[in-house]
Amino acid sequence: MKLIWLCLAWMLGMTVQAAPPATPYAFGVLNHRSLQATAAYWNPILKYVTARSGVPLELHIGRTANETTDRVAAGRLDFAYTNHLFTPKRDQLGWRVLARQNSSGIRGQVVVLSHSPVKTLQDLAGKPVAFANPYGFTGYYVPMDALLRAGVRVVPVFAGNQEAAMGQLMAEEVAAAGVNHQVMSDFAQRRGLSYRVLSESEPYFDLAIMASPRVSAVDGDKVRKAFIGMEHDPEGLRVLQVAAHSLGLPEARGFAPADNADYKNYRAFLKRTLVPLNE
Amino acid sequence: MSEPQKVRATRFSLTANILGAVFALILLMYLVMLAGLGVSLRERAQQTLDLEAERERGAIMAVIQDQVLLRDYPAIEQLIAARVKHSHILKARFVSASFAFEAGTPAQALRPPGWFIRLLDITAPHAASDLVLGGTIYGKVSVVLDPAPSINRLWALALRFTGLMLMGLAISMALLNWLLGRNRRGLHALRQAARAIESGDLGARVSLAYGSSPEVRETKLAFNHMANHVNQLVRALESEHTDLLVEKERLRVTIESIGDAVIVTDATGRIEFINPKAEELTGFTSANAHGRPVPEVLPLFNEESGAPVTNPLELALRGNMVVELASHSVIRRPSGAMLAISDTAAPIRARDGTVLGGVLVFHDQSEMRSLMQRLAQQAEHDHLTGLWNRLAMENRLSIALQDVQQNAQRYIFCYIDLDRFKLVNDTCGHRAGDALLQRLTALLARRAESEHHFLARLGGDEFGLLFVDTTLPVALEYIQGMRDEIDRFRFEWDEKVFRLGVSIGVTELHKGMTDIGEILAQADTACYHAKSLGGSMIQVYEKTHPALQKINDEMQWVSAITKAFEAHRFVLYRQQKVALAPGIAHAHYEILLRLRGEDGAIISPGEFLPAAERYGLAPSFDRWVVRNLFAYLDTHPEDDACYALNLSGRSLSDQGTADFVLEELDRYQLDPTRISFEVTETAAIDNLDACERLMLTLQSRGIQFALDDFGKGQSSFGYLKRLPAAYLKLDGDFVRGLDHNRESMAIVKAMHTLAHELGKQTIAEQVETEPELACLKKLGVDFVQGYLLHRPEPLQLD
Repeated sequence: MKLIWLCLAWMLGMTVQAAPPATPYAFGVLNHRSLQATAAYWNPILKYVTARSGVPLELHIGRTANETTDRVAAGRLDFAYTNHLFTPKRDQLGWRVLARQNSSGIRGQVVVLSHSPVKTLQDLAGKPVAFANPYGFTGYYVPMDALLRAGVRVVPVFAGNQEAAMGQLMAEEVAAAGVNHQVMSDFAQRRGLSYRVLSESEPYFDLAIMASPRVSAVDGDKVRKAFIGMEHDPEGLRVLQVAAHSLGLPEARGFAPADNADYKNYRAFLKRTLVPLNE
Repeated sequence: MSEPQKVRATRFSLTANILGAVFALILLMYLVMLAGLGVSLRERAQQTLDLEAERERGAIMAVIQDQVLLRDYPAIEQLIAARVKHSHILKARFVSASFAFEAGTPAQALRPPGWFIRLLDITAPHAASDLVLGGTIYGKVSVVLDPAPSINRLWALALRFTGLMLMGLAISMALLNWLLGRNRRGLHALRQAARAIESGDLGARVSLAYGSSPEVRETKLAFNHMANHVNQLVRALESEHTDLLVEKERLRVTIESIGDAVIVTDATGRIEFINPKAEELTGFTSANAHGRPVPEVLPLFNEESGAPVTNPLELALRGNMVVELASHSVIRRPSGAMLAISDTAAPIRARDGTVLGGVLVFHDQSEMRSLMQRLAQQAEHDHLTGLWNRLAMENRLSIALQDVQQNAQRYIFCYIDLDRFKLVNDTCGHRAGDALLQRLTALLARRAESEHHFLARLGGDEFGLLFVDTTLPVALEYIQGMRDEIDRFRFEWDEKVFRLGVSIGVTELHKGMTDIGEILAQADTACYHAKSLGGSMIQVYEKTHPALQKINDEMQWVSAITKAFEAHRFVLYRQQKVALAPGIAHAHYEILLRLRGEDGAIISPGEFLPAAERYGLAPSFDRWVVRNLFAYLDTHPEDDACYALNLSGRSLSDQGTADFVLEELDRYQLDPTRISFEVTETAAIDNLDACERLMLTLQSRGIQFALDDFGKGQSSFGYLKRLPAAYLKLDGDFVRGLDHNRESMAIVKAMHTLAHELGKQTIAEQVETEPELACLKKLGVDFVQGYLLHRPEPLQLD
């Protein structure tokens, strides 16, 4: 009898082991760059995290950051690398912060080309200013808020993503651009662009890796650990370096542990901003 | 005539050949170029298609990347379909884990024929690869392109290329044909001119009309030059042909008229021609001889053995060289008569050395051989007596000497010298002497008819008799008989009767003898001794006989003197004859002859002069002295002395002496009064007539004579009266001891007084003491000579 139970237990184990892999989680990434650049950066990282955590992740991108955020709102994504979910309305979706980009934080900036005659925010009055999209935090809300608080009305031009906005500035199609200071700095370094900052916000933590409420705590924790451990794992570090190299970044950026509390200032800003929120 | 060259003509004309060759060359070039270009173009087309497939794949991949990331599958389908629609893509396909799509277009129609397509062998290019983004494979894109457009393009290119080639070929052929046509006109003109010349018109030339190419013009010029040259050659050949005909006629006449017989044959030795002389000698007419082998017409045999002789013409033809007929050859004429001939045969060669025939030249040798035989007879016989001569005796002695040395055969040789033969000659003349010799020879010949005797006249009144295979006693017995018979012989001439004697020297040949000279010398020495014994004596040569030894020593001198003479070792000395009589202005010297030995020592004449006198060398010395003294006087004009030269008895009897002296005198233009000759009393008397003639001849030119050694011989006042000498040299035997020998003093005084009475001056020689000189002065002698007054000194000839 005991032998029969042992055989049944073994057969059950084999059945569990031979089960096909689960459907991968959709991992959305906010569009800061082109689709292909985003894929080049994130695919190696997701591949690593999938391997380390055992939680299958699959990159999903929308045509624009707004579309990506829309996909979150539509419940089509399980994980997201974003800072669009701290508005009061989206905050109610229940997404939780697992980790964040290990950086000194991001700032919203209003920048012009070095040789631009624009010296102050007031000089931008009535002029076209490029922004990533009407949903971007540092790419729209923060710099536009700075402009509105300065009493300056500009003509917003939405380029689609951050680097597209910077491209329009570089092509002098716009007088200024509202940008993420980190993305701007990377872009300028890569393209040899000289620019000047007219306005800069307080620091905010960089984008957060968030999980939807339907992701189990276990899987969420596995994913969080895998991201956080990348910097300390030689293979993870190599993957980060490969990813950074694909974007021309000077150094690899790892991920640090974070939770919802770390993004209080986001929520606070979004509650008091003069810019109408697009939710 | 050589075989005419076979004409190897080609089937096609020059133009056809050139056009064909150029056509083939251009066609070949086209094919090579087509092959080269075709291979290159085909590879390039395939590469282009492959690259295009890759490019299309890449383009599709680039176009659908974003849609793949967005998972916008309808967009992917639209993008791929749009791309396929605007290109020659047969099939484009995208396959991912959850999606697959394929789009395509129908293949374009192929215009080229099947063989061209198969030749190109261009395959539809296929490109495929995974779509990877950020290291993640999103699917696979594959593309297959349609090769038809490329194949059609290549076909069109090939058609254009071929068309151009054909056009170029047609133009080239037309142009070439036109050029060849222009040049053919020049060749046609050349052919016309050549045919005209061939038909005899040697003046035909090619027109150098305008329009010919430089090469054809040059050829025409060369042809015209050649025609000119041929014309000149033909003229020259005609001229030479005429000359040759004349020459041939001349040669024919010459050959027919020359004294030599000539036979000309072909290369096989068969007669083609014989001249009249050959007809005469062979007995064949030219017609009879024609075609016959030479030996048949000219059968040759050895004259002595009668054996057939190979005809030299056969040898000449066989060896391709000139051959002379062996001597002693004769031909047998049809009549059977033999005829001695000599001939030369030579091949007649073509320029390349091929033998065309032969020529045999011969002539009648009968008379010449007869003459040669007579000459040979005369060469070995004495014409006066008919006996063998000295040459024959020497040859016989050589054979005998060899026989002695090799076969121990015994030979005895006798040297026979007639006594008193000179008396007959001097008193009755040479005709009498010759008659005497002929009669006496007949006597001797009768006794020496045996084969064991070989009798020869060696010269003058000397004979040689060689006994063959005879012992000395037998020979002596024979010789004694012969001597007795000659003793009994009486020769009568002009009522005078002469009785002769004979002196005979005998020697036996032996192995130790080296040459015939030794045989003759031994026999001569013995004969000389026999004669010195008074005549009619026989003396056998003995090496140890004292008298013979002395004679032999003299003979040794002969060779020494001869060698010294050739080596110029004779020198002249002079000794002064001091004048005691007043009024004699010039110094007087006597020239003396000395011999310098091989060791440089001076040898006095007493040593060698007797031998020289006996063996007839003295005349040579005399002439040598005359020549050298006269040369000395000519080169030393400061010397104005008078010189006296000695003359030997032989020179006195030599009729040429006077002429020689006078010629030398004229040659050097000397004053003859400064020259005098001394002749011994004995020699003068022995050659009285000759001496008298000589003295008179030379005296007529102013040359004086002295009688030397006067008083030593059998002096006769008659001789003194007859010989026109100006001086008497008193013999030294009377002068030495004159001061204390009354007899000598009396004789000298008498001779001096006699000389003065006859108008002659006296010379005392060998004066060696003061008392002798004082006596001579007292007697009034005109000249004195001797060591007391002057020792002989060399005459500096140089």
